[in-house]
Amino acid sequence: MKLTRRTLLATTLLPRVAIAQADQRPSVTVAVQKIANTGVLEPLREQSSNVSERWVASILETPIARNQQGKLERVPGIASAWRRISPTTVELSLRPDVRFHNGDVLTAEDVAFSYGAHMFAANLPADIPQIAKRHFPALERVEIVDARTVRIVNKTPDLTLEGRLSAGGREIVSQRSWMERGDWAANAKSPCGTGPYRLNRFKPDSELVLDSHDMYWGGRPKLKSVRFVEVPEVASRIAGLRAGEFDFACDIPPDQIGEIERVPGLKVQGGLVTNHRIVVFDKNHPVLANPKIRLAMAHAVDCQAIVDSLWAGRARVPAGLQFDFYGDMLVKGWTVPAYDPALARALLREANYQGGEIIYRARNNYYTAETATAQILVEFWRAVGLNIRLEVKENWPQVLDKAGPRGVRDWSNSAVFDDPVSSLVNQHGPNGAQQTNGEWSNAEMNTLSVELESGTDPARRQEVFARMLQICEREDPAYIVLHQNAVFTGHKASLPWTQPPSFFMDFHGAWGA
Amino acid sequence: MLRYLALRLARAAFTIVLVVTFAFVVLRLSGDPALIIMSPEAPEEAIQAFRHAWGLDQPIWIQYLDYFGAIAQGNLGVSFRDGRPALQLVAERIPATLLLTIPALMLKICVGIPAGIHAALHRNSLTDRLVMAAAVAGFTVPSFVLGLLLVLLFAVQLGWLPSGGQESWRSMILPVITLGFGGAGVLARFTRSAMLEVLGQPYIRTALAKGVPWQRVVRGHALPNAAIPTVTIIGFMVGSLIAGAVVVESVFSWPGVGRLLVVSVSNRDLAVVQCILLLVASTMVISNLIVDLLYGVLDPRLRAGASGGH
Amino acid sequence: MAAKRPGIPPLVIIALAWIAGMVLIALLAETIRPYGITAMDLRSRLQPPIFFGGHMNHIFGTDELGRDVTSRLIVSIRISLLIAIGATVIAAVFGTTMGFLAAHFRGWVEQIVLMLIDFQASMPFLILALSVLAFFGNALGLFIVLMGLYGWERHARISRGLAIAANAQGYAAAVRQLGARPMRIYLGHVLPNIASTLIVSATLSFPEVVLLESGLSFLGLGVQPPMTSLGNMVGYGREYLTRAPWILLAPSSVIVMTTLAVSLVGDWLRDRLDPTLG
Repeated sequence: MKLTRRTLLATTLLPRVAIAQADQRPSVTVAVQKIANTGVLEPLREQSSNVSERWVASILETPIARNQQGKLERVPGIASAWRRISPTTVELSLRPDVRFHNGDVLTAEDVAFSYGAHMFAANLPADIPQIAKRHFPALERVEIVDARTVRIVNKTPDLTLEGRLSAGGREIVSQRSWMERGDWAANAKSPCGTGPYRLNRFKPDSELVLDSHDMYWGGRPKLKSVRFVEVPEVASRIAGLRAGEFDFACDIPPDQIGEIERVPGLKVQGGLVTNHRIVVFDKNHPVLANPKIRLAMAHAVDCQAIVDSLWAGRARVPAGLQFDFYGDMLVKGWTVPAYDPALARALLREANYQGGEIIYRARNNYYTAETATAQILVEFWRAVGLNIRLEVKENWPQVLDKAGPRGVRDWSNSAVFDDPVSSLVNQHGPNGAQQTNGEWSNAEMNTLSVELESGTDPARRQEVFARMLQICEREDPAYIVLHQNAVFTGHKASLPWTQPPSFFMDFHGAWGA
Repeated sequence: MLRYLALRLARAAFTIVLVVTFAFVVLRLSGDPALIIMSPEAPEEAIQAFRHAWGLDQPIWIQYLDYFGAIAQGNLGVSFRDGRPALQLVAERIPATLLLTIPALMLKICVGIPAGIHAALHRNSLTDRLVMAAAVAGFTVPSFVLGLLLVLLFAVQLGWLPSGGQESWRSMILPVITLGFGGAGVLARFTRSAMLEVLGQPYIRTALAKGVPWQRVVRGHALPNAAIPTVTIIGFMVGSLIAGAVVVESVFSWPGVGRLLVVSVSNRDLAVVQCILLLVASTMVISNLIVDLLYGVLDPRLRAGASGGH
Repeated sequence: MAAKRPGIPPLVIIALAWIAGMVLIALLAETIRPYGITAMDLRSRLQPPIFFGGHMNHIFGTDELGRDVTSRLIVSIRISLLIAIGATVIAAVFGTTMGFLAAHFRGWVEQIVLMLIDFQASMPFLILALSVLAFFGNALGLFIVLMGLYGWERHARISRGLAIAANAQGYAAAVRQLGARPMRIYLGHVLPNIASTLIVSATLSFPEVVLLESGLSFLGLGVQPPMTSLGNMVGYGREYLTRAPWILLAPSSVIVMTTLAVSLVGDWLRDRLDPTLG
């Protein structure tokens, strides 16, 4: 690795900033509920939750991008093209003009490093390689063909490689920046990527300030700087927006949309995101062991009523645990169990339900409207004769605690990329959290998961997926899908910004008409 | 006197150890930092690896001994989330919190005590009733409601003051008022009651009958005796200077120790929580020590080691 | 000093009536509430109260799940009164006892009590509340005990200080010389003399407990759904302060009025009990 020659090249090509022209670009302030859960800016630790998704793609980019101005379909990113060489290999062609925030030109070495030592080196914090293994379960090697071409080689056939390369956790970082700084914790708080905005300063749990990366390959960014401030209270975020202190206020609950929109000069944009709210079962519970009872609980819930009341009709009941951007993998005609209390009661009678208590563990508004939704669900279940007890818990370990009877609990399911492997298998498959927690398992589902992950025939894969939905949502229910989530952002109406169909606060493509 | 101080210091040390131990046990048994920080979707191996790296898979008594062993060497632990030493994290936030709690304390004392005295001296008059009504209003409205109302009025409607954050000196005004308002009410009521009790004592009447001027009576006799319960309350208020602004800091997004405590507790970032507790416990015991010494000044009968009990 | 007025001042009568009313509501809560506290009507969410555009069937309007605010308010009064009274009694009894023990025995008993006082004062209540919720769940009885732990240290310190001072005063020594046992001295002589400050302290406890409850609800650690309480209503209602203020204002007004009433009555009681006034 000839660092010295590259460094020389980079510095000589670094344009001297022309101070002659005053920077007329606007700066914005964005109020968010939380900037980073883990206190660092490294996606491998922070794991692309709805929290970090707000800013990750502004700083760090994946080789294949997602069209945030469209339906999140795959488009060229810092890789201008990609080719499928074999069932196990994808080849990426990198753009020639991509600059990191430190001025270095992106080369295949950075890609190899990002998917190599950056993810799997021995001296990393112990959890990082484990998480990386979830991102690339069977990565064999990254081959550098030449400075602009790189091959991702998998051990087993994997039709979802392109999807993986467009998903969070697979961003490309500057090898030089990482190696020079050395310490992982320091690097995790000072990411050096290729995105339109570069890090200025980060005060954990307080603020994150990004400056324009003028040499961005996608064109000079439209904003001078972006400042994220952490404002935990909804009422305070809205107050700050109304007072003019914030340009954007994120995480607006649907009930407050009217409050913001009746203020002249403000508007709210919102839309569906690739995240479903679900409740999951523990089938070891004596009552829930009978799948009929679980199915009865699914039929007892009027999800549309929840969408209409708590979400002002702006969320949606999806077709089971599927997402629109699955495209050809979508199982058409599939639905969630219909709202049918009579059927629910009949199922309970068939299952000979004797009134045993079922515990429902929820958290206090960890998810938007979680507490309200939980109370509504309890009423629906009681209405068909179930004995449900709601227990609000303070944190995840208490929700998942095996001591004490587990029954039903809240969760959510994201599709990290456009294939069921990234959502259904990821969370409910043999290595998914629901199974490793010991809550649910199904032998046929596990066999099918393996087939789905390594299958190469698209038609067969879709069949397998359909069968998995049948198992998980009808025959041996693992979860109930409540609704697809929507996210709302309030902002000054004068700002030319369009909400992308994700949690990402896009200040490049989404800015300007 | 020296023996007294040594005794107090020993007791202080015991209290601090008790506080930290209690928190240690409670926090570890009620939540797993690895699972909380990593998120429930994280792979099991990652969670195990995180636990192992931080020694969280050790039996609790070993973790306890390790922790106190480290303290003995001056190492107060490292934050799981941040990677930096816990003491550094907390120290960064203390000035921000003190910027709120100290002015708030001044507000409480300078508004509450005179109001209470005035009300006591004019018992059952209109002033008394008004002051007490204001005091009640002050401490019955939850701080977050008061804070939000103040923001709605002064930041949103009038636009005079910022709604949160720590930008300029103007950002301090609303949080300080929110913090101080309730405490001023409490102090007013306590002071009034203590004054009334003292003013009813026979020796006050005697002094007045002897012709001692009213002001001298108040200053020389009434106030010092009324001071005891009042000083006690102030002692507790001083003791909560560091972590007493939890709710206000959340409402105003003020980057202080209170916010850090809430975030660290919910994340079970144990080193940081324990560091804050050490600080809070130390402040409280020192404050109470000073109060005890003041007792001795105000009322010689309470002085250190005074018998009079049996 | 004004001469002691005969009879009860009108303001105090009103205050007593209010308190009586609250107690009555608390006792009859299950009978007088128009709806169940969990009875929701998702199509009539966030209805305003009756004179602001609402209906007769929901006098104080509905909340974010379409539940009747009046019914929830009535049941909340019961729960909060239970918590506040229970907690105040526990704190006052426990605190005063500890204070007396410390004042009477001095020595190492006093040291232990003082250490417990410091412990209580230094431990952020957040952690205590969290531990109860984590280990014992949402049981009302335990919650009352938890609230009782709040503020006992103030009672203890004050009663200790004043008991020590009282011990040194003439009457205590005189009674002791006459052969009275310590318990009799404390209960019969010391307690009445420090009663006024304790009463004020107790009347402060009621709103403090309710406020503590709302602070805990703010942090997600208070009375948990589906149970409801005044603090819980205020805590969850804050998000709707501009959209549907009645959700928060109804319980808040009850808290303010009840505290005012308790304070007025407390002051009046203190005046009556204090033999030296007038």
